[in-house]
Amino acid sequence: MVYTGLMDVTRACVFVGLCVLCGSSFADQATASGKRLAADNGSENKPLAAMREPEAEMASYWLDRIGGASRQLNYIGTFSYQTGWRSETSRIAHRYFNGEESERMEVLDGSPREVIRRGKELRCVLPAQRAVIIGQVGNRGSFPGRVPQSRTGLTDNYRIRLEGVERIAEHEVQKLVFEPRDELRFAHALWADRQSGLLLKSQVLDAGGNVIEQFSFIDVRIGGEVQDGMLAPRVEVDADWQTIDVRGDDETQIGNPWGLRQSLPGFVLTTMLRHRSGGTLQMVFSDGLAALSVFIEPAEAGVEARGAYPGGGAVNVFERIASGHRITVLGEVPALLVQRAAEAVEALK
Amino acid sequence: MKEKLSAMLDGAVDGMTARALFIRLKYDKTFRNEWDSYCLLGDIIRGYAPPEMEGFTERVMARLENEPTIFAPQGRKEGKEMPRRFWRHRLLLPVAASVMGVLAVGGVVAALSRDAPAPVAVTAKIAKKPATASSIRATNYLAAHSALTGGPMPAAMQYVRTAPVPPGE
Repeated sequence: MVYTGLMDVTRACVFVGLCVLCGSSFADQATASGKRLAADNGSENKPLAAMREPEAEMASYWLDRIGGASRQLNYIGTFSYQTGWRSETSRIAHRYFNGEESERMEVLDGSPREVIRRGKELRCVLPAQRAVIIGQVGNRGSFPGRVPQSRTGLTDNYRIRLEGVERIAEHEVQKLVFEPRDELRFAHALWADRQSGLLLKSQVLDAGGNVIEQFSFIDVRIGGEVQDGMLAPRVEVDADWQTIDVRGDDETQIGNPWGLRQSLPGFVLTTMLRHRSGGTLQMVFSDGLAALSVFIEPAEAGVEARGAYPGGGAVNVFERIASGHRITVLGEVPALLVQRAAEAVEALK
Repeated sequence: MKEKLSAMLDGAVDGMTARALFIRLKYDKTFRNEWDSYCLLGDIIRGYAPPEMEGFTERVMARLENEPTIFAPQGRKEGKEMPRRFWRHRLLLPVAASVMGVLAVGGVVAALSRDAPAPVAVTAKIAKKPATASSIRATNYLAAHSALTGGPMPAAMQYVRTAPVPPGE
């Protein structure tokens, strides 16, 4: 068993990424998927990277547009969120002014929730739990700014294709499909407004092509002014509600006592931080589209591992106890991957 | 029309039909009440009981504990004859919880039929439910993950996902 620390994992991931970029085939997954792709296209002599270049450029163009639009446009809209039998309608207002983003989202039915964003800070108000969670937007910004490596890495994990032009919420949209090359990630379908680039619909699908969750705007106004009142909090927070701060400070890998026994194919460590409250260590791994977080904190005496359980929508969770610590892995990825990641986490000796 | 609403909740209508239904929801109070009822059922199954059903879950679970263990029969293979199969199997509920859900739905239907409070009143009561340590922890994790990792949607939209609920919550 090869036992590596996070530093080694990162090095390994970078190495695999470089191999793929160079058209090499050191990584098993890259080899397998490369052969499949070559067979699909009937051009086995063509270098892998060259074959994927147009695919990567196309994906990069649309992902840049989608990411830029969601951050830098003003918009107000109503969207539905569907997963399983559950369907909720929410309202969102987003404003970009003087380089700072402000948002307000309110869930209109089901369990009430309100999310207020001011710049990097997010406040999630949960009346059902009588709690307010204060979080932070990642330093790299939201999607796709969080993708640290070349987009050609994305094409190593997904087959990407453009599909037809459709119409959503009275806007003409371009459909973009990301089909996974292995069983460690879900498929994604995105519909972006052709004019502005704003994402108007998004689906996560399982291996059978079934929709796991879907966000879709019902109506949206893109551009124009967004008044302060549309961004102001409306849920009253009682004084006795619990306030939970999940913000953290960057943690260096030096001296970090935790590592992974094996890397997660196609995923690289993008963020590692220590929560200010409680000291939980959080590591975020991304494949360029999907992400999972590993949380490590001391376990209470006598606590038992909860194992696997479903999160909301496409999110899966796996929890175990190791070396007196609770290891929780959570992400919008298949249950197989969160379990594999959780079982790979161990204290370094 | 109720059938269409039910089908939409099952994810079995196309986008155009769904949009038409949502538009009607905006303007048709009766239709909106139907919608609220469905959402209330969802809340019940998730464990957010209205005051009329205080202790209902515990009573049913206590009865279940006294029942003999019944293993689920071999499910038939998923085929094309079940167009809504996915939306159902995604419930991922264990057998006991499924039974709970069925019983809870029955309870809610009964409650609704005898002048149950409007969904708005139920929502107000939901806010009184105290948080548990593990549900808060799970919510925290999801919040921390969503904020940092973002996604193709705006940051705040990621929060619409329900917090993961560990078994036994």
